[in-house]
Amino acid sequence: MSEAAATADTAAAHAPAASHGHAPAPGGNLWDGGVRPLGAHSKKFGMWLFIVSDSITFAALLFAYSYVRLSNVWPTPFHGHSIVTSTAMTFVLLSSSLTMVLAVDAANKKLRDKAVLWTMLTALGGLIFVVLHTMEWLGIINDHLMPLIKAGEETKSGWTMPMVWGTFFAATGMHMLHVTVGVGYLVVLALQYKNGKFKAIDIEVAGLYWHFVDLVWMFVFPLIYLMSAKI
Amino acid sequence: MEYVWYFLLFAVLAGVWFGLIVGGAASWCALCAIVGRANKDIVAFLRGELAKPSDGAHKDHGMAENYVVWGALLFFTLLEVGLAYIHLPLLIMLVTLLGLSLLKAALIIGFFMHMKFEKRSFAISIIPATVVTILLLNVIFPDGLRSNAFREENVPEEHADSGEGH
Amino acid sequence: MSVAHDVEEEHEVHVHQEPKEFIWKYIFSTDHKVIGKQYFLLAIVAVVIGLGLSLAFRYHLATYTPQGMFLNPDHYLQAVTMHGTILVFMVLTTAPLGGFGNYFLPIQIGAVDMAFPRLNMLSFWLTLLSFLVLIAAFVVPGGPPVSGWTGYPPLSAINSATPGMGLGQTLWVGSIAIFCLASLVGAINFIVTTLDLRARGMSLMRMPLSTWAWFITAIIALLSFAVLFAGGLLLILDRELGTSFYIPAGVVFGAKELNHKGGSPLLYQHLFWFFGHPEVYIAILPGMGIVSHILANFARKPIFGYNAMVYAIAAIGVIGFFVWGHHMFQSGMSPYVAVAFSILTMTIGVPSAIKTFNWLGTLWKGNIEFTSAMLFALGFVSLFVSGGISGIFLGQNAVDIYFHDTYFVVAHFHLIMGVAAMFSIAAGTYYWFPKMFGRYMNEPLGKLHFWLTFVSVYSVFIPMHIMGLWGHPRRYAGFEYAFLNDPMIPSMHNMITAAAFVAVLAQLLFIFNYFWSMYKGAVAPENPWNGTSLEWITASPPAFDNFGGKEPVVNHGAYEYSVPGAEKDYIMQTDPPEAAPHAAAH
Repeated sequence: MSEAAATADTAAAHAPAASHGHAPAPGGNLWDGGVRPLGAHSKKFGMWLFIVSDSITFAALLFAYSYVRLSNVWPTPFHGHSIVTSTAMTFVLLSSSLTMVLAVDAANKKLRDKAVLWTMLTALGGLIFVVLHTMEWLGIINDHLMPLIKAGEETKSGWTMPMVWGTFFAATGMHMLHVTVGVGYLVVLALQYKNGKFKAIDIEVAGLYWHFVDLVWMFVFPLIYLMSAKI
Repeated sequence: MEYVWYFLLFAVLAGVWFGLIVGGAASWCALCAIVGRANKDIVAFLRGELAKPSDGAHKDHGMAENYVVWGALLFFTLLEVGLAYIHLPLLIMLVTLLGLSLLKAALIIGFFMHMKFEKRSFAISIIPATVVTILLLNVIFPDGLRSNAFREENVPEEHADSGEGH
Repeated sequence: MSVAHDVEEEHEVHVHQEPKEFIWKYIFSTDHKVIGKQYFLLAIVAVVIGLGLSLAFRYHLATYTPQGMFLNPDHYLQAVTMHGTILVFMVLTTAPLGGFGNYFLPIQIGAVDMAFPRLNMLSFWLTLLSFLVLIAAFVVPGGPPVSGWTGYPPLSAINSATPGMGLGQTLWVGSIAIFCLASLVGAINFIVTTLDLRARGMSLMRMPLSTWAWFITAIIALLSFAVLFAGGLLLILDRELGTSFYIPAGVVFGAKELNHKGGSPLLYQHLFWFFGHPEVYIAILPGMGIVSHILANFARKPIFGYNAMVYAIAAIGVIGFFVWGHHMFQSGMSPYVAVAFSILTMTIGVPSAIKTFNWLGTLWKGNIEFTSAMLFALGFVSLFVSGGISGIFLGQNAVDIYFHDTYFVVAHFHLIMGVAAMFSIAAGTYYWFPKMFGRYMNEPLGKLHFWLTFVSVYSVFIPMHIMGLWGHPRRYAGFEYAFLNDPMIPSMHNMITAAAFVAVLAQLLFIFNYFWSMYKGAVAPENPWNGTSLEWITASPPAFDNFGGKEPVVNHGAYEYSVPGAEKDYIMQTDPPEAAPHAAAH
């Protein structure tokens, strides 16, 4: 591509350029201001930056888990039942990511109703994940923690949570918080999108968040469950 | 003889450290090169791309690709779960699982999150900084191993006063 | 007025109407200028509380006798903790970045507002909430925590340790977690704004150094606060849910061994300082940017080595992430890692020195005007050098084991991070006040403020270095110990306390000047200091959309002062390209 054509393109990108009587940005470079140099919508860039930060938070949690695990003898409390449940949860979450992709696709093709439908289905997937996960939590609290609490009460020594459960609740709890927030986000977005308030880019940005939640689970699931499985 | 090992350990640690630094610096320089227009080729590349539609999302990549990615993700998950059923040594298990997870993460970022279809400069602005920051946290592990060695049950009798199990 | 739309994108309306009602205009405002002022006011309230606490414990130390104490040891530690937390988080992080950054970053790059105005508002209100939660620790039973601004476990992880460690410590952790969220939102906004909303011609290498500093600081904040958030979360779990991330086995407390086992306080220290060291740069980098901006303006010279300055800011930002271990040399971390951290800590001196020499180069043979803003900028350079030198000692792990937890460290970080950043805030205020409020601040009062502050802060912190060399430990409420039996020590404490009172009273002078000048100061024109950057082409104070409906087009670098052959001794960034014959030649 010739220099002149490139400059013309840049000029086209600045709608108000002609009104100022100046040449387009000197050199016509993308980084010289007046255009978004990264070629992405600001909202999308912002969401990516949030994902950067949040992935570091999750990484720090998982590093803390590894640190504690490295310096202790670690039990393997996850048996067949837990693994089957958590595998099912993983499948639900992965599939909800696929429906999210479909929602973004529909939104980009301006098929509003379809986009709303797929977004709601994604939220439903998230809801199923939260329900399954909560049931699992309750099971663990009943089977593993209640006896400890009772024993602590009897001996009046107070109780402490074994670190295998401490790390489990820290990592999965933080993740579940993200899923729950995500479900609320998607439902509100879908309802408002139906009323014509948001644009395709908003669906896409929500999609980024949802895929990120999925992505985190791809690390939490093997590191927390499978590494401590005994079947 | 002990000192040779100390020296080697120090050399490895220093190597890892400086590797991280050089890696980080390299990623940063790549960013600076683009930002500072030091590299004319990349600038031309960026300029050339401006002519194309700016956002990959508006192009139709074909949904078939996404179904394939979904299938691959499910397959890798099943593979991981399968690993839990055959009892591998812990370290091999960890490396395999992390490898598969990174693969899955790459698929999700690349296709579902569209990074593959964004501009190169966008990916360079986002990914190296994140990876370097996360990798930096590895520096906490020598201390985790040491506190393990300090625990009463792990200190061999004859080394009880030196504090480090060799 | 359009803000850089790509052709393909759906257009959206960026410019909202200026709200008329008081509550939307001044309280729940999405205007970056109002939010900047809100941050600044928050910092003023916080600084009054924080400095008041420091006077309380300085008075305690000066009048200390084992028989009668002004504060009991618990209260002493509570005062120290809250002093540190309030000043580090609520003043040094909010005023230079949230205050000046919010106000001037969009204007300096020629944008109408931040990229996400509503998130900007959210960021401020979260910061305010965090501040209120922190302050609430004063009134809950037991009072604020005693664990210092670093909040090290096991002390901070045990609910029943001392009076402040119950609800007070919980509020402290909660406040920090909220602050992390606020900073995250703010950082995203700053980064997107800087990259996406620059006016035409405002290439990255034409941005003022203050903008560069805010930009890099935002990147640091984005990457580092995330780790503190994780660390704080685990601390809350340890305190409330009985986990043991940070509590090892065998902690004996009140003649009773705790049940916790399996954790390590080192883990917290790693997570905290992974954030904590970059936080130092979050506090000081905006100051460096502001000072560079002011030095060039009042020396009437281009900044010496603009590119080197930019790369030095970036390098400090990057290396700042590699050196956190130097805060932990005597915590029992692996000595091999400590050596690596020590070497890396030395390397950060290189970009710092580049900046210092470039400041001196900028001043060299300049036509210097000694306004209050310039005096404070020069004071910043002085403090940065004298505080930085002691940092080189402390970076050696062998030396640090002796110095750590003495007054030497206290003096070091107060000079370089606390007082230097305060000087940059004062410099920025004197410099930009005419733009923010349309009036000058009172100059004679400003100069009096400078000399009082400059002399008194050195009188506070130079003796502290010496006491640290003698081994005076920090965070001790009393000093009736054999190794501190030197008769000099009480008299030095007296002298430091007297100087501290002068320093704090001088700040009251500043606050008085600030509010008095808002209404009574001399009216300022658009460009009172003959500056070059975009904030000086706007009205004073700027219109709601900053540039009054015009879109600035940038043709020059940020520091074209005294260009040979030009008509004036400065060329505005928006002047036509032919204004600089010298620049047009190549």
